[in-house]
This record gives sequence, C-alpha cells and structure tokens, in this order.
Amino acid sequence: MIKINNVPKEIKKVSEVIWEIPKSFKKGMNVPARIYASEKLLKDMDQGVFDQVTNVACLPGIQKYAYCMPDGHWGYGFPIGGVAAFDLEKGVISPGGIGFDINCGMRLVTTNLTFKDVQPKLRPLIDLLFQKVPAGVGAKGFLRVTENQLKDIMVNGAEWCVENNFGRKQDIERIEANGCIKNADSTKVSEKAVKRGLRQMGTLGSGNHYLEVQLVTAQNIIRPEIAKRFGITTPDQIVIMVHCGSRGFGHQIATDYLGSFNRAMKEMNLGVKDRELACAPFKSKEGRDYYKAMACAANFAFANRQVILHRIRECFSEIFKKEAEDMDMNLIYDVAHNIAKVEEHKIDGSKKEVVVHRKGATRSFGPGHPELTDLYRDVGQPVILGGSMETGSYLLVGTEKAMEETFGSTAHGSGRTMSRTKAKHLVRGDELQKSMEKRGIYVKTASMSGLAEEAGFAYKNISDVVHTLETADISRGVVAFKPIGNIKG
Amino acid sequence: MRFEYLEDVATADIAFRAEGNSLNELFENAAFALAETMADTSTLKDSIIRTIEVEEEDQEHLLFSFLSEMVYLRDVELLFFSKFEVNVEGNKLSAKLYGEKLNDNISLRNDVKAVTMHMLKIQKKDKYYATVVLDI
Repeated sequence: MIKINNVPKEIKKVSEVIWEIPKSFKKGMNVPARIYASEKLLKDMDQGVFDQVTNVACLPGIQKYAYCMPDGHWGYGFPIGGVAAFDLEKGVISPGGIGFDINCGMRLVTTNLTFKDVQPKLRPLIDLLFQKVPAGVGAKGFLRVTENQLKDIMVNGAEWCVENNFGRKQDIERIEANGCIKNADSTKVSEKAVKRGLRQMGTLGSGNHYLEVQLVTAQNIIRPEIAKRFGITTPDQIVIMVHCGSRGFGHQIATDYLGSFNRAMKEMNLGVKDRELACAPFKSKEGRDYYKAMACAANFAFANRQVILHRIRECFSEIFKKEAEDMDMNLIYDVAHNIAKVEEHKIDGSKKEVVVHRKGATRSFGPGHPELTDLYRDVGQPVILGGSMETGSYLLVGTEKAMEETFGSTAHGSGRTMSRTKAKHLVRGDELQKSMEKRGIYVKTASMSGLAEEAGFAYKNISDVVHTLETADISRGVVAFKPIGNIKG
Repeated sequence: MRFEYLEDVATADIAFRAEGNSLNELFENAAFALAETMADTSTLKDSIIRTIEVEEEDQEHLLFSFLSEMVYLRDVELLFFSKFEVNVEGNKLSAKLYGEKLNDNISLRNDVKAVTMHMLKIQKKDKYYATVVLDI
C-alpha cells in the first residue's frame, strides 16, 4: 500500500508534531481535526485515518478538535487513536467512538524479582500462567459467576473483586476511576450480553490481547525519580503487563446499541458519514441508556483485569515459593483505552463537563488532578503504552499540557501499520515463536495464526510514538520495558 | 468465488467482500466468509442444525444482525458452522446453519469480537455484493 500520498494537501503544520485539517476540508465539519504525529508517522498513516478523523469532526456538539494520536490507524467509525469530547447538552455519545471492546485497557504490576531470579524459571512460570489465565476462543473463565454476582460486578467493578478476596484494598486507588464507572445500570444490559459475560470473567481473550512478563534495564529508566514513585526501583527488575477488556460481554453491549442507535437516528433525523458512527444525543433516552450499559461493560473489564491480577499473584507465589506481598507485587496502574467518560475540562478559559471519547487512546491526567490517588497526585497519572510482543512497551506519565490540549489524552500503544492478512503472509506463527525464543522471549499462544498476525513488523516503531508524545508534551516517558515471556490468546 | 478478503481496509481488523447471484446466496456467502474467518470450515462436521430468524428495517441491518447472531452462538454455545441455507424476504430473514460444537478436531482461526457497521453496504450490480468489516 502506498501511503505517502494519503496525507490531504489541505493539512497545516501547527508545530513539529501537530497537524491540522481545516473545517473547509469536508462539508459538515463542526471543528478542525488535529493529528499528533512526527512527519514520518504522519506520512505512514493510512488514508482511513484522515477520512475517519474528519468524519468525527462532523458529529454534533464536538468541542475544540477531533484528535488522532500518533499510534493512530484505520479503525471503524472513529480511527484507532481517536479522541473527541462532546457538549453534554448539544453533543452526542457514539459506540463507534469507544469500540466493541469497551474498556479494553492495560494493567502494570511490579515485582521485586530481578532477571536473575526469573530467567531460570521463566518456562514453568509462563506455562503455569498460560494454564491458569484462560486465553483464546472458547476459553472458560476461571471464575464462574452467577447472574446476581454478574449484576453486582456491573455496578461495582473492581471493588467487587476485593470484597470477594480477589485482590487487596490498595489495588483499587491504582485503577482509573477507582475501578468503577458510576451510573452503571444492569437493567440496560441485554440477556444476550449477560449470557456471554457469565462464562468469560477471568479470560484474556485473543487478537492483540496478552499477558507479558517484562524486564526493566538500567538504561531504559528515562525518569528515575518518577520511576521510583511508581515502584520501579531496581535495574533488571521484572514487571507484568496485562492487556485485555470486557470480552464478549462488552462486545454484545456495543453490538446491541449500535443496532438501536441506527434505528433511533432515523427517527431523530440524525445523519452521519458512516453507519459505524451511529450516535445519539447524550441527553436522549438512547444516549443515557447506552452510557449506563457501557459503564456496566467498563466495570466488567476492570473486574476482569483485577481477577487476572489475583491469578498472576497466585502463579508467581507457586513458582517462586513466596507470598505475593513478599515479592512486592503491587499494581502500578490500570488504564482504560476504549471508553467514554464524563469529565471536567477547561474550554475557552472556563471549566465545563464534557463526555470524552477515547478509542485506542489513554487518559493522561497531569499533576494535581483531583481524580488522581494521593499516591501519584503530585507527579501525574501513570500511562501505560503497550507495544508489540517483540519490541516492548512503555510507562509514561500524564502532563498539564495534555489537560490543556487533548482533554487529558494520549496514545495507547505502538499502533498497527500492516493488516493481519498481510502479516500472516509474511511469517508463520511457529517460525516466529522459535525466532523469538532465540532472542530470549518465551511465547505461549492459543493460536499460531493469531501469533503471526501480531508480529513486531506489523506495528509502528513505539519509540517514534513516544518521541511524538514527548515533543508535544502530552505525556512523558518514565520507563521502557523489554518482553521476556508472553501469553497470547 | 464466494468471498475475498480486502487487505487494505481496517488495519487491525478483517474485512471481506462477499458476492452472490441472489440476495440469499449473498447472505450465505457472507456467513461462510465469517465462518472461514473464525475456523477452517473443512475441519467441521455438520452434526448440529440451528435456525436463525431476524427482522430488521433494512437489508444491511439484516445482514449485521444475522452475522452478529453467529458470533453470539460461537461465544455462548461454542457453535461453529460451515453450511448455510438463507431465505431473505423483504426485511425478514430465516436461515438454517449446519455445524458442530467446539472440539479438538476443529482448526480455529480468528476470535471475531464483533461484526461492525463500518462501510457495510449491499450493492446490486451484475451480482449482489456486500462489504463487511469484522472487529478482531
């Protein structure tokens, strides 16, 4: 695919890493679109990004700009990497601005173990994690919940887990929104979604979802003072990263409401550029109902990642014959990257509540934000950027600039640059697995073809993404991690 | 040809274009494309028959709901299908699906999360065509 000609000629350079597509680009744009990217990342972006981010700019009640982050790529409805905030009175909520995997997100956990401790036991550790954290199609969750328990989870999120001994009290404040989005209402969730959810609590899923054991090397600690605050203190320290979401439960809620929004839009005479951008006024019954159901899915995802953390602690205890507490297995943070939330932001000098959509984009609240835990309030919110399984990931920190410029938002990963079908033509899963093992990364997968689709070359260079975020100052690098063990669905 | 994958659409997901000489055949081939994305259908037996009935306000929506139902049955009942008989009349659909429950003999492919409405369109030219993007 030749990508270089895709950049619209109307695009204006605002700064080294900010590009603006004016309202005149497309009929119906209510605001300009802004893309955060280095010149190289911009030129490599696919056509879909420019089409989709300008479609988002046409939605009613959108504030300031429609944004795309540097890891952005062609999605459906919104681009992946899309951020948009809408007025609560005149604006909309759109399932296509959140994605089917509601509250897909990242979780990062410390240990006090070093490479020397873990390396000799890496294989049995990964094998045990693979056995205990179900992944792939048809995987049954290790936690069988009743319908009533599921309803509790929908409303209380991660808190339910702690109450039921799947975690510690101190985990909760290290989760975005304390692991519970308010206003969740289980009566807005279909029976079908409930049926899908019942068997999937405590599953990783597949696609690009993973559980990874990662290594911190001394040269990869970018801001040592902040790293220390987040619990990264030792060179060669081992951390664990989890990437997963609300599973079939969230997918069904998104499917249900996408259907009903399309019906409602006909009645309300709301036209959009793509059916996947189906939306409803935030204040309408349809909009409110979706928000309440979406909150249920978001809470399910927080709980899913919490019970998985519990399982990880158990596995580490079994392999290293120590209590999890004695290995300092503390949660650094849990962030959502597919979500819509009501947040207060400054627009034209005054504070205003808006509904911020982040689709493949992460919250990046800066120092002093009242929503942050006391633990991190003076440094800013930890931001977790998941890279490809071959190249590594980053821990960053939120900034005041993100609050001013991007509704407190930043990138979520390295971003795909090659289609799944193409990646599969270029490498076989079993070959990739062997070659990664030679490079010191032990991988277990539920699907060999799925593994091939996630090859490192299918992704952008994550360092380019981080460089853009640093230059724009919408988040700052803290630590880079290298994978040593990985479980893929 | 019953369908083809579109490589340069939706980078992180999977898109296909199905075709058919009639609307019924188009829906059958779109279902087959989804089934092939989820598993190698040549490894499937047809020991279970399921019927699906859907009614929607237009045909695109009908296709969206029909395919979404297959994803639902995969998740909840672990059913995979390889043969389809579809009858579309106006905005109503009734379909018979042949397949079996997940077992070790089935060669799995992608875990399709959902059917999207992105670019979803049914077109009638020399034949009927539909483009569908699946969320992976």
